[in-house]
Formats: sequence, structure tokens, C-alpha cells
Amino acid sequence: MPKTSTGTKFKYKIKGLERRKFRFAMAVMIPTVILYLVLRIIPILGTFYLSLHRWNLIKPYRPFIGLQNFAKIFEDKTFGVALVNTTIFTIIVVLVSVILALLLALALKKKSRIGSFYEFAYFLPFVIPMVPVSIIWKWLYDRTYGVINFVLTSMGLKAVGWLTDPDIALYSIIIMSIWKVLGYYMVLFLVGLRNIPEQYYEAAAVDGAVGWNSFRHITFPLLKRMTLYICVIATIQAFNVFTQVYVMTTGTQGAPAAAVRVLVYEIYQNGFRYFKMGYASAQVVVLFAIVMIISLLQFKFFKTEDY
Amino acid sequence: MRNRRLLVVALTLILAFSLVSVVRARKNDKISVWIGWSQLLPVYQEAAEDFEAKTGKKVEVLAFPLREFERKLAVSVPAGNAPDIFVTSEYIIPQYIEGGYISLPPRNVSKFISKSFDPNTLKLNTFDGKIYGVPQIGIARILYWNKDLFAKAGLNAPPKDWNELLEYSKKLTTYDKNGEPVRTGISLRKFGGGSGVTEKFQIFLASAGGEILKQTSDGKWRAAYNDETGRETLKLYIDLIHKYKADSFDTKQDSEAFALGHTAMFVREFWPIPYFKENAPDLNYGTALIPGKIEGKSGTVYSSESAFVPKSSKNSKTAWEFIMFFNDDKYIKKMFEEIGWPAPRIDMDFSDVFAREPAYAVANERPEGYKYSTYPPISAADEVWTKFGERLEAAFRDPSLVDNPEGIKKVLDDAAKETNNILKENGLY
Repeated sequence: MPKTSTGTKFKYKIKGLERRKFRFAMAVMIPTVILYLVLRIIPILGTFYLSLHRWNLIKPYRPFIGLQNFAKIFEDKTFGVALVNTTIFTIIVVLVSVILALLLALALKKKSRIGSFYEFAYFLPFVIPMVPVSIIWKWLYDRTYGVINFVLTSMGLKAVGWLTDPDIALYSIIIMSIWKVLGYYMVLFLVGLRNIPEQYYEAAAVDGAVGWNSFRHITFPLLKRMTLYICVIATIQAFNVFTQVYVMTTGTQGAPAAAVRVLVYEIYQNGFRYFKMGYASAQVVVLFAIVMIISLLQFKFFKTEDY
Repeated sequence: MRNRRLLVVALTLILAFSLVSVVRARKNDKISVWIGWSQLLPVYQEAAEDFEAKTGKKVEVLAFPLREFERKLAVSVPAGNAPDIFVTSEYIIPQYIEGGYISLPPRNVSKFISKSFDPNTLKLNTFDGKIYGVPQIGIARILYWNKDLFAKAGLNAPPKDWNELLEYSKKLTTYDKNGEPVRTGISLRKFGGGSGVTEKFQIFLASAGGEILKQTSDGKWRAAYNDETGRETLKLYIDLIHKYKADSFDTKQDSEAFALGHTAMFVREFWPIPYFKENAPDLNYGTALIPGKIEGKSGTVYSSESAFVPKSSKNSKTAWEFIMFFNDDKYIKKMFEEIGWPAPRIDMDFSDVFAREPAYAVANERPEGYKYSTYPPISAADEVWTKFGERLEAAFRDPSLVDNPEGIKKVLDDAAKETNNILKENGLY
């Protein structure tokens, strides 16, 4: 059999195998792609479509109104309050939780039994669902029966209206939210830190780079990708804050009105309380745009040579 | 051979058809009921069990938290997936009636409705001259007063007018060394769910003769609370909270505070009566009509909940049958006595309930000049109430409104603009 013929035959065999692999890969991927389309892409496109209509969930007449919903957002003072509150919430939660998580990860970088205990302890709040956590914190913050005020008053200090005082309520929720996510970000940083080869530090130490210099020139640059990932998910999560605000600040026992109004709560009210799906969708589009722009800025800020 | 095959195919088809018919028939015998008040679940479930025992027809009752219930209705009714029966209020139902989703009751049920219920409740539930639902509950808001705390303060009867309300509230409040209330004279609804805040404000507004909205001669609506009665009502709140510190944001609130003896008065529906019986059995309290701005001329908020059958129901006959079954004395009295939800029935004698629980007796009182303020039958009512409530929540916290009639006027005028805009958006202005 001539060599070329054998070669051609072999080549075809490979192609056939590749084709089968390709088909198999497609077959495996199709359900996921369909699910992703149905559960993600189509609803997102649907939201854009709804935002251009006066779409009441109950009323059958749903006319196209162009950008009127978006124009209304700019006149909506409640939306403005919610946007300011959510931005304050996001800035503080992202900055504080990322910095604290990094510091904790640096402290717990070396594996030890006590270190594992602390890792577990810090990670635990992240595992507990948000609703029970919010109820627990609502009790901790209770002005009359809360543990925090009990401690404060035992020390002769004045009890604080953690969730009832409009000047404090947002910050009380920020504290709780940082506590909730801190462990998760710390574990992510630990993964990043433990993947940095020790030889880099040893080589740097030979050149006299230890402490801050070692962090600045080795740790931080090599953690950039992980830091970017954490900052992006932290920002998205923070802009989507809802559950803790809903659980902790509504009800007859303490709700500081608009002081803790956040964007998703505002969207929820318009969509599911007043059934104005068109207007709520326009607000979602604005929130989507804000988060998208901030994420792109973060990508630009943390840009590395890898991508 | 061919004939045998045909026979097998035919028999298989007949069997399949029979199975489908049986399944469909079984399915058709089951009806579903949705309610937005979990407290009502035990009574509805008991009625459902009795109904099944009597008729063989199954009733599935599901209770959801109110807001979730409203969301489920909003999604399922227009989509034709609604339950066979749902119970909701006169301010939620208009949008579904407007959309053409709700059935009219059959003749026997209409006859029962017209002869069995209080005319005011029927008026409240009449849309374009038609009554679509069977009223299940009709509740007026009342004043609760703690007899022991009143006695300690040298008082022996609830306030009869606003002057007494202010005076008693001051007397009943106790303060700490910093002058902050420890036990409040009255617990006003100051926050927590916008529409509820407006509704409680509406109680005092009604007791001064005012309304949240008024209807114009052309059938449209306008904000009405930015008049003298509205300004007086907001002033009452501001005085009680900031001027006399007879109420506080920092103490326990509402029924919980009352049960714990942390407040001496509050206003609510009837449900706290069984709540106190269970959670504070030693509480020595009384119930009374809302004190008027002027003695002898007062009012309160009255609202109702009715059972409706959507047009999408495949079992509407059974649904109406169950609604009628539920209107038996046994369940109606149980709902009143054990849950605190009175039915607005004029063909039933509730004296045995009042004898066993005297706190309910006020439900039967409606002196001349006592006004019932109701929710308007419009689809935008919830948004109007909620958004006005949010503005009230902010105003209640503003101490600069003390002795500041201009400030109070501005709060209400600004809120009225927002209310009128909502009405305009909905074609109701």
C-alpha cells in the first residue's frame, strides 16, 4: 500500500474520530446551551423588550411606548434614593470585604490546624442562607431585646436603634452583609495565595524583597486575576442586594422608610407590588448597564498581560 | 389475523380513552382555593374536609403570605392558571374584573348574597352595578386599651375624642431619665409596609371626617387628604410622637407592644383578640370605637374580603357549591371567634360569640355619625396607599413639623401631587 494512500486513510480516520468527538461534544453541550438560552438569554432580551412597553401584568393592553419608561426613571425620586443607597452599600461592602478578606487570607496562608478552624469559622456565615441569617441579625439588632444593645447598655452606653434609626440602618445592613461574604472571599484569596510558588518569595528574599515589597511586587500582581474575579462578583452581588433589606427593614417592629431603599427592592415593588412590569424592566436595564460598566472598568483597572 | 389486530387496537384505544376520562373526571372533582391569610387556613381546611366527606369532591386549600398571594394571582389569573376560588379584597379585585377574568355568581348565589350581607359591604363590592364575589370578611378597625395601665394612671375609660386621646396618651407614657419613652401611651403605625401605614392614618383621618381619595362627579378620583382633616390628622401624629413623646420609634410597636404591656393603646382589626388570648392570656384590656376629633362624630376604616371564581375555573359549579358550603354558621362563627375575622352577615346571630368574647362586641356598634372609610374600587389603590405611606413614614420622623402648619401642608400637598399623578397614569384622574 503506497505511503500516501496509508497517510490519506489515517488522516480520514482522524477526521472521522474528530467528527465523532465534535458531534459528541455538541450533543453534550446542546442541553446546556438550550437551558442557558431559555433561562438567561431569552429572559434578558425579554426584559429589554418589556422595558419599551407599558406592560401591566394584569391588564391585557400593553402598548409600545418607546423610551418613556427610561425618561420616567430620571424623574423618579425614589429610584434616585435607591440608587444612592445601593451605590453607598456597594462601595463600602466591596472595599471593606475585599480588603479584610485579603488580610485574613494573608494571615491564614500557612496551613495549620488552628488556621483551618479559623477558615471554617469565617466561611460558615456564607453557607447559611440569607433569610435565616437576616432574621438572626434582626434579633441581634433589636433595640429592646437585642444582644448588641444589651452589651452596650451593660457598659453604660446608650441603646442604638440599629434598624430603626434612618441614619444608621443602612450601615447596620452593610456590617451584616460584610460579615456574610467575608469568609467566601477569604477562601478565594487563599486559593490564589497558595497557588503562588514559594520559589518566587525565596528568590525575592535573596534580593532583599520581604514584607511589603514582597507583597507589592509578587503577591499582589500574581493575585490580580483572583482579585478581579472577587471584585466583579462582589460588585454584582452588592448591587443586587435585596433579601437582607427586605427581611430586616420591613414589618411593624422597625422600618426606617426610604433610608434603606435599594434598587432591587424598588424594582420588586414596581414589578410585583404595582405589577408595572414595563417600568420595572426599564429599571432592571439601568441596573444592568450600571453593573456592566463598573465590571468593564474593573477589568480595565486589573488588566494583566494574560488577557 | 387482521381482524384480531384491529380488535386489539380498538380495545387499547377504548381503554386509553376510559383511563383519560377517569383521570379527567377525578381531576374535575378537585377544586383549589387560594387565600392570602394563613390564619384562615385551619377553618378553610376543616370546611374542605367536611365538604369532601359530604360530596366526595376534593378541595385543596393553599395559604400564602399576602404579598406572595397577590403576586401569584397577578401571574396566574391572566394566564388562565388561577385556582378555582380565591379570596381577596375590594381594592385588589377591580383590575381582574376590568380585565374580564372574573365570573359572575349563579342565580342562587346572587340571591344569597343580596339577602345575607350588610348593605355597606355589598355597596363596597359592587362594580359597574354587579357583585362578583361572596363577602367572607368585613372588618372595622378598633381601639385597644389596657385597663390595668389606664387604672394606674387614674383613668377608667377609653378616650372619647382627640383631646382625651392626647391627654391620656401623655398620662400613660412613662419616661427614662433622659426623657425618652419606656412605655408609650399609644403605639401608632409609623412604619412597616407602606399601605398599612396609610390605612392606619386613614383611621384617624376618618375619625376627623376625612378621606384619602374622593370621587368627582365625572367618576374620576382626586387626592383628598391634603385638606383640613388631613392636616389635623398629621398634626395629631406629630404631636403624639414629637411634641408629647407619647409614642416612640425605639420601643416595641403595635400588638406585640400591647401584649407585653409596652404600650397602653393601639388601633387594629379584630385579629389581635385571639392573638392576646393565646399569647397574653392575663392581659386585661378593652376594645372601643375610634375616638373622633370631636366627641360623638367619628369613624374608622372598613374593608372586606370576598371569595371569587375566575372564568378560567374548570370546576366553577363545584367552586360556587363550596363557597356556599363555607358560608355555614359553623365556619363563619369559627372564623370570627377563633381567628378574629367577622363575616358581614345580617342573617346570623353572633350574640353567643359576643357572650363568650366580649372584646368582639364592639364589632356590632355603629352609632349615628360613625363613618366607615373604605378603599376605593380602583386598580391603583394599592400604589396610592403604599406611596402615600412612604411619605408619611418620612414625615412622622420629622420633628421640624411640630407646630409647623406650613410644613405639614407642604408634606400633604407634595404627596397629593404624587397621588394625582398615579391616578393620571391609570386614567383615573
